[in-house]
Amino acid sequence: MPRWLLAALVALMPALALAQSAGEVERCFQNPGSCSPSASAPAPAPPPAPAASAAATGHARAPDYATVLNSPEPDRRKLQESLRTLDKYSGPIDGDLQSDATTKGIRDWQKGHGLAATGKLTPGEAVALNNEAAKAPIRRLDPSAQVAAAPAAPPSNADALKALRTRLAERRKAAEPKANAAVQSLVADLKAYVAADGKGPAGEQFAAFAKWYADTKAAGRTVGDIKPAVEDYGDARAGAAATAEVSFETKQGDENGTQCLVFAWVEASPRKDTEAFSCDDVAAVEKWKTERALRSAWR
Amino acid sequence: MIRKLLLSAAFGLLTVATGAWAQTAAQSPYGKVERRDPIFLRFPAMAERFWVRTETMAASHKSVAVPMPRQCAFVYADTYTRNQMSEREVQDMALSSCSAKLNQLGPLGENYSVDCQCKVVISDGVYLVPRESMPDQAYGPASIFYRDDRGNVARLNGVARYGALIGRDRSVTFSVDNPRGETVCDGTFTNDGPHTGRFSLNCFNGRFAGKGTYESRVGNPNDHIVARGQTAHGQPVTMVIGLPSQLAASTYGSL
Repeated sequence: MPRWLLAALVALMPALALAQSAGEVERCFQNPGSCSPSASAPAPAPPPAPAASAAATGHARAPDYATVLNSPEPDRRKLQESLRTLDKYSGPIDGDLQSDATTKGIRDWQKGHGLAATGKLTPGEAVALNNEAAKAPIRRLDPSAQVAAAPAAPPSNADALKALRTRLAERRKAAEPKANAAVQSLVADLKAYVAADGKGPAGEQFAAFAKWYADTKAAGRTVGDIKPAVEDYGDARAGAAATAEVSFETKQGDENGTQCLVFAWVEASPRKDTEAFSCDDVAAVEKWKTERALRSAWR
Repeated sequence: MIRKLLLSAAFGLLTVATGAWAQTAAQSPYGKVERRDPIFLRFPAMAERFWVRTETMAASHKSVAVPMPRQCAFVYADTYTRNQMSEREVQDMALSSCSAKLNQLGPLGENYSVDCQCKVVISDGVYLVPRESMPDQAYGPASIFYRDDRGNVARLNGVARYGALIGRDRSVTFSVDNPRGETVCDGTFTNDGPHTGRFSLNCFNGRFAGKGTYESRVGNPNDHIVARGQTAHGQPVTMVIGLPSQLAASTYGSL
């Protein structure tokens, strides 16, 4: 094959491998109705048969691997991207066609097409690889979503959001019994602590609560009704974790007041990693959750 | 000359409009603000000043202005005084600070089809606008930049909304509307730390998708989120939420 033709093929590779043009993406954004699954992008040119291309470049003399290996970096990166699109490569897009991961990906692709598994590409193979990747449909990146969406048309954005909200609601519903039980158990301990006038596990576990109770008592206020609400619940690194927003009614003479504390703990007997915060201290509560890698089943 | 007259008339109208929003807290029929109202969750630094820091919390007058309608509320201005200014003066100051911030960030026309104008929404602990008109989610102008494999760059501008505070909840869903108000993209932010995490983006029923990492940046010129990733084909995608289109493009549009 003349060198000028090879050079032309290499130069054309990006155009032939068009995945989704910027223009098309802009058009879809401005007018999503024109981008339904059936309104597909212009089909790329059919790929040449890899075996035929290889034969064309290979039978007259030794295969030309140097052209692709020495091609400009954007072209080499493009080949890695094509391998990645075809699930043959998961490494970095760095243009290194001689890395172990890239050569393995090339070999896998070559084997799949009945080509010599050399781990290096001839110009013809490079074009075929890019063309095959360009034909692959644009997919959701979440593998589970891919599997779920494969048999049918992909759901609309509104449906996807609705489904996500439904999943979140179901997850919360499943967590509700445990979350409520954890919070009720806490409230029982808090009430026992108040009833025992400052004695019991609640004060030992939640030092800030014990201090608040002591300060309240010293100020001549009594603690009345205790109302809890689950603030968050889910799995943390050390086990199931809960946060509860608890409001305490306090009374001093005719003057009624309400105090609000957030209790955070990891479920265990006794509770672990216990802390209590002011309800206004949202940042501290969230920091407590983040530090324990709490994955919420509540929100 | 005619131009000068028109400008004067426009300024006069603006002044009248500004005055129309000045209202005393005592007249408000819209109720008291609360610490956990969405506006305070959306802007935690303001919540800190409004509710926690002694020197501002106990101000004699305090006002908050945000651009309205609700999808425009991605900047804010809060002002406080200790008896030096009247309630009306504090409101005017909040309004002019908000308008100045909005002007400084640049035009919003490529993101919004509505006219975003600052309004005083809170004064002395009560709402001056109906609660239901206040932002109930986090909103902001959004720009998505995508470079295809031929080097052409798509610039997509619209409005993003998300249902909770990024960095506060573990996983937050978001959606992006185009300027015609059609929802064209959705996705999730999953935080790994207070200001960083991963994102996924899905547009046009899965025809265009990407994922990568995001960072939420606080402060100058405005709090914003920048998310950088790749499509399945390895093409770069950048999404910016919180900066108008031109500022987003000049800051992050080069991919």
